[in-house]
Amino acid sequence: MKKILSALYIVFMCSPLIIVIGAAFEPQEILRFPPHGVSLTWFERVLHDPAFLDAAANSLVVGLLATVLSVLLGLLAAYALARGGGRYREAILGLLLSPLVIPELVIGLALLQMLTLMNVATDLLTLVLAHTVICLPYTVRLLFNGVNAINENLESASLLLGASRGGTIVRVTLPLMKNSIVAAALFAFLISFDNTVISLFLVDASTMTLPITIYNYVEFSLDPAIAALSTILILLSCVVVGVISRVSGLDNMGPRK
Amino acid sequence: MTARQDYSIELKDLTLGYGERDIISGLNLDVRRGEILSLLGPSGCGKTTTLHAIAGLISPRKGAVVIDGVDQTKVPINRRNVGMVFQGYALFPHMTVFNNVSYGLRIKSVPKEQVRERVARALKLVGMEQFAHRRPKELSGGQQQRVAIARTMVMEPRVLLLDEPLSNLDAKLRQEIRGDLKRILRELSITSVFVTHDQEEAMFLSDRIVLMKDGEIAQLSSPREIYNHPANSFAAAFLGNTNFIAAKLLSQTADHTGCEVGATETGQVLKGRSALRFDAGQPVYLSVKHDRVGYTLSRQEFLALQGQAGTSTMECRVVDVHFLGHVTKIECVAGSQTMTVLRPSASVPADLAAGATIYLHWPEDESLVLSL
Amino acid sequence: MKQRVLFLSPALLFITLLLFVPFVYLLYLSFMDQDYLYGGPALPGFGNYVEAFRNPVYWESIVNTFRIGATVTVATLLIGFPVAYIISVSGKTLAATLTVVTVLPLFVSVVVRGFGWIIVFGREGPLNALLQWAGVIDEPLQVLYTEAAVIIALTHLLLPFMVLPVLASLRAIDKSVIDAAMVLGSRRRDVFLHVIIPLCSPGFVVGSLLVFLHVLATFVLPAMLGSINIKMIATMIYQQVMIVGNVPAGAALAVILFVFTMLVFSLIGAIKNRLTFDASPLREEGRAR
Repeated sequence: MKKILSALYIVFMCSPLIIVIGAAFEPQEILRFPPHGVSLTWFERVLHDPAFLDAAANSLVVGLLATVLSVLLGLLAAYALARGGGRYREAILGLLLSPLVIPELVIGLALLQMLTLMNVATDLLTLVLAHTVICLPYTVRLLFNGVNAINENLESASLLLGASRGGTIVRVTLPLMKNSIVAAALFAFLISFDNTVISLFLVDASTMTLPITIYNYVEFSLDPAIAALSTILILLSCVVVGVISRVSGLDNMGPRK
Repeated sequence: MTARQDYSIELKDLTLGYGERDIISGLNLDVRRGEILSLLGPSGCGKTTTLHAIAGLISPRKGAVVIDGVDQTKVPINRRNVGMVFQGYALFPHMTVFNNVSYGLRIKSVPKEQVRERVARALKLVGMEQFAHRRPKELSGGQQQRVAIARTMVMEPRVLLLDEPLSNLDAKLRQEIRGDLKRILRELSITSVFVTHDQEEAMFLSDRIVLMKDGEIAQLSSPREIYNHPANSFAAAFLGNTNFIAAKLLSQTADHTGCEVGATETGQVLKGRSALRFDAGQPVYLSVKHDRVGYTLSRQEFLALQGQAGTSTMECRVVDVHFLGHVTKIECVAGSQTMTVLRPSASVPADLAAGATIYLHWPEDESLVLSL
Repeated sequence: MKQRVLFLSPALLFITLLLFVPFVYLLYLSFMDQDYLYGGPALPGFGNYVEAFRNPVYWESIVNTFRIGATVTVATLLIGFPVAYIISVSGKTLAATLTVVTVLPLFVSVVVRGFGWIIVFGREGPLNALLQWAGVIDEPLQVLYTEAAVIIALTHLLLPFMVLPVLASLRAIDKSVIDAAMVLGSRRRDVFLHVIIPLCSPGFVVGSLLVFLHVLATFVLPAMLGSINIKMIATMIYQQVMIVGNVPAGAALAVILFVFTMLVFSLIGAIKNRLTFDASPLREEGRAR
């Protein structure tokens, strides 16, 4: 009984993804599963299409910048909270994690309106800033756990041996936190790369990202090109998840609030 | 009066706490140059907090920490030049032994040649030269401790602080490492302060012991002093091996050095030494060490001893006999008063069993009257 | 200490300037007249809020969202609990596989998943093919652009949010309590009904609230799979702001959405605090220092 239910569940959970991957190999210009043959035409098409390549480049650049920013800000905040303690720790942690609770729709809308008010154009930079906002809770939380896992005596020992607080962080804390930092960075990257809702509000023709490209495309035509593109994205996600679980274990993840 | 300069560390009116409560309040302590001092006491007595205050890991709420005559209050941790060995040793797990020991020197950009020389010397001192390229996780507890000491000593600190240096080791290892540690500390002749909850460790290693209870100093003396002349019943109990006879004060000599007390349970009148002034009728303890109590199983001898001046006696019933190797512990009672006798095993008959009547005796000189 | 403030300020400043301030502005806009941003007068008032509940289109979207939310919650509960249970009693490989399969989809962009469902639900898609082959239907069903499609896709999306809390609850059950029940003579079914399910209730509640929370705010899947047929709060907001251009109305709806979200979130917090079943007397208190 267990086995049957498990099998059904696995099929259900994997089906959309498997079907997309399958449809990508369809040689003809029809979106169907199972595909009537195996062909890489659509992958070739996608990898040579300037629109898709531009979108991919944008997604990558925004992803990298958002990652760097959210990891840096998150690391500083996480360190201060983990080592500082104090009465306001819970409150500040709550504030930094608040983007998790607010619907992306509301965040994106509010940002767009404010930028309009300030007469600031939406470009890659504003997109990076917006993505950082929603990546920050994840980096803060992961890095907070990372700092806490390091025995404070090691830092005290370093201080007593003459190092400054900054020197201690660089020589002792960060090297020992490598795994957490990598996990946080990968998480942030994935969140930015996959982001749809906020990007919908802040993207325009010149700053297209991959998810928005797919979203728009689907409205006009349905062909395996999108399936091929989606397959590449799925692959990317799998690779990143694989690295994260190697580096920090699957238990640290999850949408727990 | 010893001149100020003879004190390596002075704690003046130190008040320390976390959050709401003060753990230490108004503590005063002077540590002599070159001495090995231990902070001894039960969990929560404030000994580790005090050690941390000397290192600068916790800031005093009131009062000051003075090292070599200089107030350390404004001096940040990384400028105090205080060496500290942590419980668990806190060796940097991602560095080799060499890099651990050279860490402080590298921070100060000491030239490579000098670094190599000084590290080699430090490792030689603790006998760990062969392990320079190992990582902490490949070392045993005792070896890690030695590396930790080398790491602090290579910086030539003014004082050395150790937080429970031996408690991470199992019993047998503790005995071995203890000796090494004492030898190293003596060779360095550096002022050392260490924290421990083990009275035997404190007595083995220290020149003086600071016995602490609830944030205050219960007694500060050499091991011998504190063992033979405990200032109060807490000191006597903590240092162990003491019989406490509940009693009421009957009379005291004019110079308070001698007392007569009435034992509560047996009703006997017993005599003993004292160091404090007591009020008549005050409940006290007459204490006598386990190993200072002799016994006889012969009633005749007992009666003879009863008459002897300067000897206290007590008739008891054996409850249990524990063979502990070179000594044997005899537990007995007189009513609800328990007494323990510790004698070399060779002198205790193997057939001594529960229920036997036993007659205890000890010199009055060995009895110390203590407050509750 | 000063260092701490220095370290915290960048992140806090960031969140304040890019989250709190814009939100306050949005709140401000929600009280304005719909022509305000086009140079019209401000005319502050609750007009937009009243419209949100009075206007049948808006009201419909709110009702839809709640209804779909409830349905998806029940669906995830019915599927999620058995799955969580199986994971908790299975050996390492099966448990790990099921967990990975549950969590992995979260890392794939929602548009990709939406796209997958579009293929699945198509007239010539695998779902219809399967149903026809099984003889359940003769003609292909119109599944796309119906509420059913949205519900199925949302269930798939939000299952992890139910499975993980329930799993955590299950794992937190002290095995000896179950042993005690068995020793007292309960049959497996009784143990299930009277011990396991009640002790899981924190997981059920937290999971349900999380799922509902996400349905409230969900946009992409209803937009892709429901299109203009399915009106939900999020799609309504997007439409008002980006297509109709009535920002104040959209802002009001967004604030209402935010308030609902906050209510649900505080419910989760309140329930988490009250529903702990750890009564173990063996729990160690305090630390030796």
